[in-house]
Amino acid sequence: MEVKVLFFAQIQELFGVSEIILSDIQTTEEAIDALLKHQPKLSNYTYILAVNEKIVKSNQSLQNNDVLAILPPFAGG
Amino acid sequence: MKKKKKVFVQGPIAPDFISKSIANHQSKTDIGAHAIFLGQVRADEIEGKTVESIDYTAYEEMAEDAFHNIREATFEKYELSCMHIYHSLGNVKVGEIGFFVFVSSPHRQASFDAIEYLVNEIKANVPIFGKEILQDGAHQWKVNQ
Repeated sequence: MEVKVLFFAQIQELFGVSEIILSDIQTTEEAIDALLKHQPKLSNYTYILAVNEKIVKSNQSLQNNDVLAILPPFAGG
Repeated sequence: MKKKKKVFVQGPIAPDFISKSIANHQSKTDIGAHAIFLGQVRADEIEGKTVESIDYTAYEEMAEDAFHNIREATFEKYELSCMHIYHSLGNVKVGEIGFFVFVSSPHRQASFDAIEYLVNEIKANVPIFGKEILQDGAHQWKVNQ
């Protein structure tokens, strides 16, 4: 099972890449735990999550090939 | 479902483009009122350094969906004849326009109300990010107030 993770703006700077693939994770919480292991400083950032372009506000199970986006605060307009 | 309209433009939105958009409505004679909102890049001062430009990026696929949904919701909520939304991606310098929202209605109140609703919904719900470039080349990430 693989999930693509997308990074934007300041979080993309933090990770140094625009996307990574995570394997063997079942939920958004597990994904965040895995990302925090990659990059502990993520805990200093404000962000929300979107799964397949829909914002999720609580822990959610993930399916193979889902796309999880880590979205820092919006600044349009 | 209506076709999604193109919102993003590369670089600043030219005043010429805005005036042409206004002119394009002269043939729509049910319209009695237009309201326009223009977002301009401000020379904020951050720890003694001035902002020179903003580099806009977005989660484009999700942003296009969000624009579409906000657009549909606004049409349902207010009596509008038409609506146009444009947002810049890439570099927009201080004093230039990076956001152009244009609504038209038979009577003024719907335009007044719709423009405020639209701008606020877009600022809150569309995944667009702004990197403020400072005069010494350093940067910080913009957060909407």
